Amino acid sequence: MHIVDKKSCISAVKAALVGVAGMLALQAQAADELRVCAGKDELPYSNDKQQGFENEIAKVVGKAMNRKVSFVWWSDARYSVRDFLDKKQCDVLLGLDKGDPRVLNTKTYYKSGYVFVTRKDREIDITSWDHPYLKERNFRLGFLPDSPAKNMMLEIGRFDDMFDYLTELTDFKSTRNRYIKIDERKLVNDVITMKLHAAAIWGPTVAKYVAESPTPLNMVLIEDNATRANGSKIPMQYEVVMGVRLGDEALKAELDNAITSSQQEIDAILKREHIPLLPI
Amino acid sequence: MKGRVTHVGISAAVSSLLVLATMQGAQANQDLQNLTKNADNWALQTGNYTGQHNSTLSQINKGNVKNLKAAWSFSTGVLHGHEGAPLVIGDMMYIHSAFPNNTFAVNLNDPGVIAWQHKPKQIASVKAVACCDIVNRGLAYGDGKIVKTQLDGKLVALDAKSGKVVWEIEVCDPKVGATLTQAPFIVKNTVLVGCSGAELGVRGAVNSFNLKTGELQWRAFATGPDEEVRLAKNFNSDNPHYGQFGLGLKTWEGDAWKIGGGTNWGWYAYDPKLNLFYYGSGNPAPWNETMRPGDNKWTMTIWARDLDTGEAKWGYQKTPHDEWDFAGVNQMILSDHKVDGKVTPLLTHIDRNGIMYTLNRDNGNLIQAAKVDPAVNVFKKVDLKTGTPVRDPEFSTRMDHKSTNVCPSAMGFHNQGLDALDLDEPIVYAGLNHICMDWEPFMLPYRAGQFFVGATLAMYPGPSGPTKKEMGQVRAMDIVTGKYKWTKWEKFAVWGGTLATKGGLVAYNTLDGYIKALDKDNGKELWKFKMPSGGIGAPMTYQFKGKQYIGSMYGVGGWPGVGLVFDLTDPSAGLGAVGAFKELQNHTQMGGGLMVFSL
Repeated sequence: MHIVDKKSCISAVKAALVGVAGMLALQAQAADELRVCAGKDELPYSNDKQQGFENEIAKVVGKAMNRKVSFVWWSDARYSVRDFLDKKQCDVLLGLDKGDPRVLNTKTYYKSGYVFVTRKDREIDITSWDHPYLKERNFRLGFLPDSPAKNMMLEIGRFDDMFDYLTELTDFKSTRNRYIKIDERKLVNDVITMKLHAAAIWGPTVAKYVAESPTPLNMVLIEDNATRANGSKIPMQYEVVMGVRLGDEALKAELDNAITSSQQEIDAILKREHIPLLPI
Repeated sequence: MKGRVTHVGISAAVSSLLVLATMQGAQANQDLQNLTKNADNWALQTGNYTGQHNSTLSQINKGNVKNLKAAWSFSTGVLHGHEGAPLVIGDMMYIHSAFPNNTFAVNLNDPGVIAWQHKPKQIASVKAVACCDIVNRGLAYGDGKIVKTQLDGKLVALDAKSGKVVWEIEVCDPKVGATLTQAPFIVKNTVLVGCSGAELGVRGAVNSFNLKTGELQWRAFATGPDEEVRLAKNFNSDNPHYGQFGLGLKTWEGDAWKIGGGTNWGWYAYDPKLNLFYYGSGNPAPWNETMRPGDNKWTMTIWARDLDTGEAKWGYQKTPHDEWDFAGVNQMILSDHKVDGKVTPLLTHIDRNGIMYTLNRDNGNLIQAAKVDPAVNVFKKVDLKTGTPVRDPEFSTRMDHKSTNVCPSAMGFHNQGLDALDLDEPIVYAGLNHICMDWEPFMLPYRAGQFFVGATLAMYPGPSGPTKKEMGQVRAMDIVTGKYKWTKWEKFAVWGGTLATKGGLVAYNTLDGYIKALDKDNGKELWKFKMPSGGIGAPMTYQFKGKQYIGSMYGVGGWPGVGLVFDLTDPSAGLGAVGAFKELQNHTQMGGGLMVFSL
């Protein structure tokens, strides 16, 4: 499987062995530019018109590094690391989970969580996976394939009830061997039209759509107390980092400094997006 | 299933006329079996109830087939894949098309004129729901009616004389991923039909409708409680090791059987003596096998059910816990041949998994399970005593295992094609795919704990052909011993199946558009003709005014043609079919219709 741990130790050693002079030369070559791997059509994160909040954050960070930002667009999120970052088409990816083994992680630049989105007027007051509503067969809860929310639906025995909705989300296409970009706005719209009672989804993905909805909606962070039957945790909160190629310590250090110095600006961008922020 | 029955166009004024017509029809329908016995007709997609897909006509034969010429042709006006074949009843021919599922009637006295046509209105969005092109496998005839399926899930009965809608019912709901592509199967006053869409979690069932009224008579599911699967009290009593009761629930985790698939969209056969009908249930869902631990009964099962009650006398699961998508809906061929010196009622089924099964169709005893090609490696063999396949873990498609050279590919070595059994000998002329695959699972992190879970399928020609580039073959095989008699290799998959005639011929279509006739004794090619577009159905034959005709639909598409018809270029798209059939575009293009040949 692709997820097999990149042998990060070996890579680190290799990087160390590369002569200091060599590293400096590489750096000098690219120092005037920050090549960002970004989604071509991945709103609200990014698109090739640079309308996403990650596009903005990249520019802010680039400014702090005194580098010109250029975007290199990928269109299949599955291969952004394998075919872009690792093949040196670009040098940094935004929006990764802390701990992603495929890349060298920068420091966290924000933390958020999964949310329940509901219509205000329906007064569906759910804040955790323990809520009895969620166990009712006819309670329609929207979620994305292979997300922590899906895992919780499996855990509470509700996955099968919503399987038809999943196939609809992927336009009746099998996700087996293709990348299907699901427009998360659909989940919000389905809450509005009461096709769903609620959606359980990563807050940053829908925050803007929720805030801009003409029908008043509630968006609450889900309590981070979800566990599997065996007691292992299914996290509902995630720290978000940038990723550079394994071994690219210099760029990581530069980005870490830039994140620190522009944290306030980053926060402002996220707040404009109405993203629920948790303390880092 | 809404079960809503819509009677259309029955006004009081004409009702007395209709009653008369129905009475005559009822009588005619009891004789549908006789209709199929008259070789002039082609009254069923399978040719006859045995599913043997052969004909006693012999005017066109080995000696004169080289003089076979195009007699007339007919465009359906629809570009996509055309599976199935037209029906001929007396002097009328009935022609179907892919979505939008238009139907045309032609009087053979003047095939240049369309006698009537039925063009249903369907919402275009149902096209998205179909997995592998927007095919349809043809029409059924009975009781003076043409019964057709529509992709939008409707089963419609038309008056065979006028084309007027007699009744119309909703069988499958595209909103949950269920569509209708199967040819209905009519026996006596019963219409059998099932939905497509196993991969989308549609819970498979065979439905029995009243031919006169369109009312549901019974429904038997592939998964779930025994009463919903409709198991007879003595179910599998002759072979208890196949499994008996409670397994539609016990072989699933939790409620997963509710979305467990096992749809049937293939072919039926019927034995009037035993009053049993036979069909196969398809693959389990979801595709990711780790989500459904267990045998997943009764998906991938050969069923013998009572026509009147739907109760299953026996069921044999060929592929427990499928990992490859080997939907087991393929054709069932019934015959009576000697086994160990004794004439035995047989059922032969060439499965997607590359195994040809021959069973005793009365009690389900497994007689033979032979590989249709030596390349089959997902199973080492099938244990005839226990009925279970012996898997080779190297060629399994688990989520933690990358496997290469898996044979057959997900398309199977045999798909929806209708193959011919020899009229006299226990020889099947099998139209086969010869495509293997690499399976590379991936589990890639996205954001916030979300993953992309899937697998890339790369398909390519199997290893057995003379140049190792062949992706199809017609193979003559003994159904009792499993021995090969002869093999004719083809560049592309032989997707549609074969037709055998008393004239000593085996006819079939190729994906690149040839209709060919072989000598049934040695597989030698005697005649071929390039049709306007590739063929994915099997030829049929009929006789009109003393002259024999061979007819065939053309129109490339279906699963092997998905790359072509949807203009896909990613080699792993279309469940991996695009790569394997990339070259097809240099040989043929889309276009649907019918070619008719005579001497």
